[in-house]
Amino acid sequence: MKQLLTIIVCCALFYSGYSQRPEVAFDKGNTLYQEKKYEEALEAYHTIADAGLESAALYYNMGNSYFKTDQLAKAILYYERAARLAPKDDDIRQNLNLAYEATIDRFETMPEPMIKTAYHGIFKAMQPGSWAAVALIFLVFMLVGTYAYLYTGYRRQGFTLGMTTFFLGMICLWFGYAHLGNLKNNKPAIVMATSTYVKSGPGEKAEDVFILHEGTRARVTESYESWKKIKLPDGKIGWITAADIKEI
Amino acid sequence: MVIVLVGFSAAAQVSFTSRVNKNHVGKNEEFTLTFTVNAMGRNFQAPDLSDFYVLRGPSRSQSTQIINFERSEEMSITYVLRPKAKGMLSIGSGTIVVDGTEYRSQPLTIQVSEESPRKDDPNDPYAIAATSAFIKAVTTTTTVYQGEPFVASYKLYFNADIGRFEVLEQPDFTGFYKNDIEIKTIKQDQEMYKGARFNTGIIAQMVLIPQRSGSIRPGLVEVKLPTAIPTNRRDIFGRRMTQTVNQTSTDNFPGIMVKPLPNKGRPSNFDGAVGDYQLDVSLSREELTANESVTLKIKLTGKGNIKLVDLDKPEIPAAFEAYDPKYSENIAVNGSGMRGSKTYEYLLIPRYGGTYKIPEIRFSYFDPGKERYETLVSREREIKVTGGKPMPGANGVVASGEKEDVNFIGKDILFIKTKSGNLKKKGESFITSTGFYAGLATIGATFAVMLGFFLFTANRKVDMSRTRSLKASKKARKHLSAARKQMDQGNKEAFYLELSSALWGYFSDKFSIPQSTLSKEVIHDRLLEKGIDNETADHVSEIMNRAEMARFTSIDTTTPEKDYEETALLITKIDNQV
Repeated sequence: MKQLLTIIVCCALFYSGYSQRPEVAFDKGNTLYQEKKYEEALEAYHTIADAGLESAALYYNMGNSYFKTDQLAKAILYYERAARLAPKDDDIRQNLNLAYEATIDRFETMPEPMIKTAYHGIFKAMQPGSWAAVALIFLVFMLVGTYAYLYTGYRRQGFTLGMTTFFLGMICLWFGYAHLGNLKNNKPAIVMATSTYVKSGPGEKAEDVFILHEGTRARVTESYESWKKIKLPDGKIGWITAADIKEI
Repeated sequence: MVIVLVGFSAAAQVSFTSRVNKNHVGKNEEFTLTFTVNAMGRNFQAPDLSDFYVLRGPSRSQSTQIINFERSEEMSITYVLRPKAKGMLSIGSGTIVVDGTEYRSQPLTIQVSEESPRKDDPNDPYAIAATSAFIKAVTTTTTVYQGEPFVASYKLYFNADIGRFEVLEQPDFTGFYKNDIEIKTIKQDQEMYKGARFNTGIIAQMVLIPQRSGSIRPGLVEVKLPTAIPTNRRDIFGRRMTQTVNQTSTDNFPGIMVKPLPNKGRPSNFDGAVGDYQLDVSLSREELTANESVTLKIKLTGKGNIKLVDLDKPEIPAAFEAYDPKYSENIAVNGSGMRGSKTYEYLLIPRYGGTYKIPEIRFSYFDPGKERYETLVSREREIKVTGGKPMPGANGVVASGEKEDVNFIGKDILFIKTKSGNLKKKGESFITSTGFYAGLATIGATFAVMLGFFLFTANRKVDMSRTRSLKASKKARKHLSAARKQMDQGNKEAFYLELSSALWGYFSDKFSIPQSTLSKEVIHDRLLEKGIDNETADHVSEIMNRAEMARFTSIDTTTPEKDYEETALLITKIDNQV
């Protein structure tokens, strides 16, 4: 019995120790950031990212560090990554807007249909995972309702509860998958080169169409060999070398 | 000198000649080259004139005359040339086509010497004209600092009648900013020049501001100057007749030595202003309430290259809404140079309450008279704004208008996040995890099981009650036959046991009520419910009582045959009715 207890305690310690490691690196990065050692802070943050872990706060702090070291395009890239994980976070949005203000290219954004914006606003209110969790909770309540309907005297209440929670659960599932699909298909990318010519087609010989500068956000719609077709917020379309752009 | 080359032909004599008006000229002297043909020619080809500057031309003129019914035509082509070099220069043959035949003019030579040969010949009308009327380019100074304005004039000297003059060529003012001074009427003056009295008049004047340092030679100014010179002939009244000579007067623009501005003591905000300036900064008011307007007026007055001077934009605190300034200038350009003022008026509207500083405005210029840099500094001004919200981010009483602080208020990113948040595997989401799918599947399975079980049990319940009620009489008959066996054997106790079993079992199955909850009263009630008459129901209770009595009291007053018959009859009767 005593032995078993020791094993359990050891396992728990090991597990907690293992899970603490990225947090330790994160705190180390924060301390370095506060001491204005931004390069070292970035190294600390990168050890977490290289381990295949991510969080909005991590990307946000990396964005801040890049911003402080005057690497505008990378700052924007990481802010955008953070914003993908936490679209409603005010800090991330403010810093992202500030970083965009420092970019050279300006666009008139094309207006989107109001219904589309509203729909996006709704399903982006939560991450796909959260939608899924909420949907599961609703569906559990649906089971409770079903039980009440079939096996107890509260037939009517059971029916109402079951039906309502079933529909709510389905809607949550819908939103969750809509958000997931949006994240997968809508791949914005950031121009990493200081300035680059965007061409009319894939290939060096194609005509130059316009010039983009560091930090500009574009949507990748197609890829061909080492070229990517991009669409700008104002609707301009062109081909850019894959090396000059990085997808969020 | 005229050399005539004559071509003969049966129809007409065609002559094509060339001549120059002088064959000995000075280096800077111009002369006229004329080709004449006494017919209508085509395809004129000029000789090589690369040894000369072509000042004007080719200009063509044609004339037709009819004398004694004979028509004569003449055509001439004229160039005005100036030699490029000294020595004997040659002019080749020109060609022209008349009636399909090509004619060539004779080649000419011209002698070019350093000085104009006319000076030696006091009787040459050009020489006389050149001494009685000429142009001079004069400047107020020949040594200036870069950016220092000076005035240049073209001054006409004359003591003979002159005609309508015309500036033919201006010097090349590359390296200067040039601002012409408008001359409405030419003021005449008198001046002694080389021992003779001359009338003078300034025909053109300009302010020049050198843009680069070094020695600059702008070149020649050239004026066409018709001058009347006296001749030896006299008119009928005995007055000397005059002859108008179309002379071209030239003068070299003085070389200008432009000194660079000294590097020593150059202020950092120096922006090329040279001269003598005053700076005046005023505020329309110093106390106001939020959202009212105040005007900041910055006026630069002075003498110098003011046209080329610009003032820096003042640093206006972020709490103010500032519009583009209203700009006005009042600059006079005249013979004494360039002077005037530039005014910038900024309309400011404070949006927040508090006391704000309009920082000092600095303006630096180089004073060529004192040969040093001067910096004008306006007083720092304060504006007290009452009412309105306090400026966000402003701490302390005075919100500074310095740029770094404004930057800090609006332009710095927010601090990092101190909580790492939920660190997840990249791209991992609950919605794609097996846990989620398992959850969904569990819920679906539970639902299916619940529903299936419900349906299954409900079916069985219905079936059981029906079969049981169908089997009821069968079972009862079995018990009854068993009872009969016991009765035949005279086994009374067993008989009654079988009999009550038959009855209780029958009703239990018939009404689907377990025997444990069944009682005589319940049976009685249920029988009445099913529409059995009261008598029969009472009879059932009676027989059940009797069977119980017989079983538990063992009184020998029983009538087994009768009880058996009655029970069988009752069961058959009820079974038919229910």
